[in-house]
Amino acid sequence: MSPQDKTDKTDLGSKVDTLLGSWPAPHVDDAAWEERAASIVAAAQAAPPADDAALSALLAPPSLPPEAGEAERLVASEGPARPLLSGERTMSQQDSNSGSSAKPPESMPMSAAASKRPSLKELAARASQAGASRPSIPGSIPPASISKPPSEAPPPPVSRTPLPSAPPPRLSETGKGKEDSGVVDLNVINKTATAEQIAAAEKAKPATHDLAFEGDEKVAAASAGNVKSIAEAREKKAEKKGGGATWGILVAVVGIAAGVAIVMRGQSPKQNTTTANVGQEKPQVAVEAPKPVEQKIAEAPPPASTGLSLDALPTEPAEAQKPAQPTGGGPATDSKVAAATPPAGGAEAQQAPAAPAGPAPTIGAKPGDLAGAMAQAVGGSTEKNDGTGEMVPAAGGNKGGNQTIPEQPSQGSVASAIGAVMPGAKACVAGADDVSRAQLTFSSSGTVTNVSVTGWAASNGQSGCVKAALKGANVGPFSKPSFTVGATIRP
Amino acid sequence: MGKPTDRELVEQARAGNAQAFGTLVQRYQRRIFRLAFHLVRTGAEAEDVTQETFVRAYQALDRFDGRSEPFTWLYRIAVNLSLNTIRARKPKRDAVPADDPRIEPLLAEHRSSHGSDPARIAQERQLTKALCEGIDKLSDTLRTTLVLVCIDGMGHEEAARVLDCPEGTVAWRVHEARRKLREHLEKQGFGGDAA
Repeated sequence: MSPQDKTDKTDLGSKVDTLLGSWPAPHVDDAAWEERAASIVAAAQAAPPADDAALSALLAPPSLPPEAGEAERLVASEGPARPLLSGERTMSQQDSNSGSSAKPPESMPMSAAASKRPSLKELAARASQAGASRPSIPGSIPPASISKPPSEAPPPPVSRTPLPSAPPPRLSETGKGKEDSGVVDLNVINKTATAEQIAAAEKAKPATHDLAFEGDEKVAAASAGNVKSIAEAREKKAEKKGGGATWGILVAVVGIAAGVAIVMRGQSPKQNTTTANVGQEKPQVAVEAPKPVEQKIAEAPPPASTGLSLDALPTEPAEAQKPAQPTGGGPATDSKVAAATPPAGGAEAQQAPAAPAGPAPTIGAKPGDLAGAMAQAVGGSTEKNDGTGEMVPAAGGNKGGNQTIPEQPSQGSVASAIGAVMPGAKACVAGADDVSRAQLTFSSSGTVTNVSVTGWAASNGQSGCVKAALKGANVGPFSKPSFTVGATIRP
Repeated sequence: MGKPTDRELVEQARAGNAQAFGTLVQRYQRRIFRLAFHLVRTGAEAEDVTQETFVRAYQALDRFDGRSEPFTWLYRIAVNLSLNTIRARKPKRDAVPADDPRIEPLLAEHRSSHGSDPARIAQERQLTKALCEGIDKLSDTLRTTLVLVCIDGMGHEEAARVLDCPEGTVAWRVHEARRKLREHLEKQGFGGDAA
């Protein structure tokens, strides 16, 4: 009799629930329980004092990596409360996948203010206002690749840089500096005017015939003196301001050039759509950038008016390491996704003008999978996934096989995977006076196959605890046979 | 005078009252053992986990801050110890053996309702074995959540406290685990046309 004859498909769920709910453990007599309880109490009293670290590890929440697909639910219900972990997907990845996935995005809860990032033009305006004395802008994109002079250290590798939590400084506020305010304090000029200047002004008496009120010559004379003093002061100011503006322009141009160079270096061989867009916009930026220096700040055009923004830059690795910011400004490639985006007053749409016209990259569809995106850009297949958003394991051999799997896990996925299990590892070395180091070896399926621990944990008998904690890491499948990465565990 | 609460027992045990701790052990050792048994899948290891859970809890009595219930605290220790046991093993076996210790207790539980029909018992054994396989194929995350909620009967709120995750996450994991179990059973031939 086949099992099909006995089990109704519609009742399978309830049948499973019934079985699970009534699934006992092996029967043990009451006397045996009593005996066990006594032995447990005796063992507890006889046990030596426990290691604090081991106890902390046991009292800590279980280190269970989140399931694939859990991130979408978390993002929808909880917002960006924590960094993405292994197996989770960023919103930018959802964007890139949405073109081939039948599963619609569940939500895009990020507010426009939180996800809006300044465009190159806005940064150039700020740089020109701040001049060389203000190398960084709080709450904005790290200036390493934008406005730092070439003589400074190169931009650090991908780092966990949260999106701006506070709104960027208003342009009008940048004019509060003494040098750039443009405000001429007449009282100060009057006080500082020399006798020679006053005398010269009285001698010249410019425009007294026209400006003097009915016979008020004293007033006219004073006004003439003040006018000359003001003119001189303005000349000085103009010189000073011109120097600052020149520096500002230089810094802005260098920053833009650096940004464009990064873009060209990263994508020029591919000549994909993104590069093309950036290249088209480049001359416009070069012309537009000095504008804020010449114009009043308040008259600066809207940041996104050039159609070029940092969102167009290939920042995929950094995206993968950011906390859950589902509308991280990734290219809006799917009209469904764009439609699902919360209203942002049009700013959102303008923030992502350089969206590739081609199909959304799905190769190696994983957070931070730059290799997959590049492979897609050179004509990789746009194989559909099954709609569940789950990765196809390398060992599975079904569907796309290794074509859809990156050669090695991306830096973002590695960092996320290790970050997910690091609290457990840290708990093992709590109270340690030195760091511990671990070498994690991932198999091609993404799971940890080996962990070697050195440092404090190894010398204090906590290597087992650390290994157990780190073995839960999962970076997702990749094509290399193995991948080893080091991690430092600080207490 | 009624039975002392868990918190009172913990307070008394913390003050050095071994009998209070013994009462706590007797109160929860069955549940802890059942939880550990379904997580580690062998009776001997489940016994070890159970004893270790209470020993560790006794050692950490001073750390119990009272923000959660004592049983939540015990459950968290038991889950951590079970996961440590699982992860310290050799790679997971591919198939559930016919003598898997989980099968017989479930069959015994339902034997009274099935009577002594050998065919029915054999079919139930097949289903139970397939169910064990499906559970074993789940990830640690889904399996732990499934065991806590569906097998142990813990509420989502309590499970969320044990696992330190939102209730919604627990619900999602349970739903996902049940979906995968159903899929597995259907692939195994269960859940076909109605009898």
